[in-house]
Amino acid sequence: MTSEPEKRDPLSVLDRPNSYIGKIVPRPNLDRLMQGRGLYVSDVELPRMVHVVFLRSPYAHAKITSIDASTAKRMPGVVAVVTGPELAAVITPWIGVLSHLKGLKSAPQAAIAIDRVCWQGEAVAAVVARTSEASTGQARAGNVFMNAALPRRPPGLAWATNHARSARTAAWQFLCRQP
Amino acid sequence: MTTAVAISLVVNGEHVEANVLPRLNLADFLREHLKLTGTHVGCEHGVCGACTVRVNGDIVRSCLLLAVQTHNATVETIEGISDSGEIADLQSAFRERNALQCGFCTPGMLMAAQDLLKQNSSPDREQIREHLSGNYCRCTGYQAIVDAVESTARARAGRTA
Repeated sequence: MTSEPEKRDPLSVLDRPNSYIGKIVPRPNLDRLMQGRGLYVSDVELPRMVHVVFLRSPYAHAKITSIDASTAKRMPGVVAVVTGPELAAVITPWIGVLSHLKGLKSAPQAAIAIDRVCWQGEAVAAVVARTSEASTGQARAGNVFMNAALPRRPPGLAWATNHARSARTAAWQFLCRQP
Repeated sequence: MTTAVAISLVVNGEHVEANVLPRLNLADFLREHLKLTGTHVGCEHGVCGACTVRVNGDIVRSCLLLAVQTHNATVETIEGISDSGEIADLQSAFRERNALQCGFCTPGMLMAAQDLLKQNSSPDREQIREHLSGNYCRCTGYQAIVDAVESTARARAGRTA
């Protein structure tokens, strides 16, 4: 704290109390968006652009026992099939921290799951291909085998345990559409 | 499935001839072949409504329709009904009410709202919500969207009265 007398620039119109609150602020970009003439990321096309599709876990907690991407990698149009360990060589895991709570941090989170998945929808592999059709699926192209782990039973959530039991041993095939 | 099929259709008043694979859906055809990227692809399985377009006057999910199914059809997209001025009043009501944030759902919203207003000149808020219930807005701006559709209905009723 300083004992100097407060020196302030005169307030601009926008700095006045309630200048924005409750007011509709003009948005000049709305017309373009309403006419379908915006430019969203999915509208961008770049030279030699490739498309990626993530293969995601249908289970909330499971061990990845094997990933066989050999067929997928041979499919026409497929540039790469990337798994967690392969990506970990170039990307360090993300660790969430809070600047106002020193010492609190999340467990390391890999960009693509390594050995086990911890949530439904977690990426297990990424298929990169020259066309979006080639990176999503129609022809069988690979196998992922997982063992769903039995979660520790939270009180009053018997269904979770039952659900996990039914999904205990799981295998699913991932798909790659031929271009 | 890998042989292209010749189709001929009218898109936004323009004749279009194209050779498309039978598996190509209408949304991808509009976006990738015709570069009409106002038709958005959200969920790609008919849930979100972002890809809503008009085919022979009816609104459809263009992600659930194959391009080959539109052979000899008339297709209208957000670009077309914007340029024709058909929804100019609806768009200005959306602007006035700030009924969009990111705008990704808006082309589909406008398509569905215009469809309702053509069928029912004075819908109540419940009917508006019901008709727009297949269009998701993840910025959660439904209140303002319903307001904008309601005020457009009132204004149009006033004009014809």
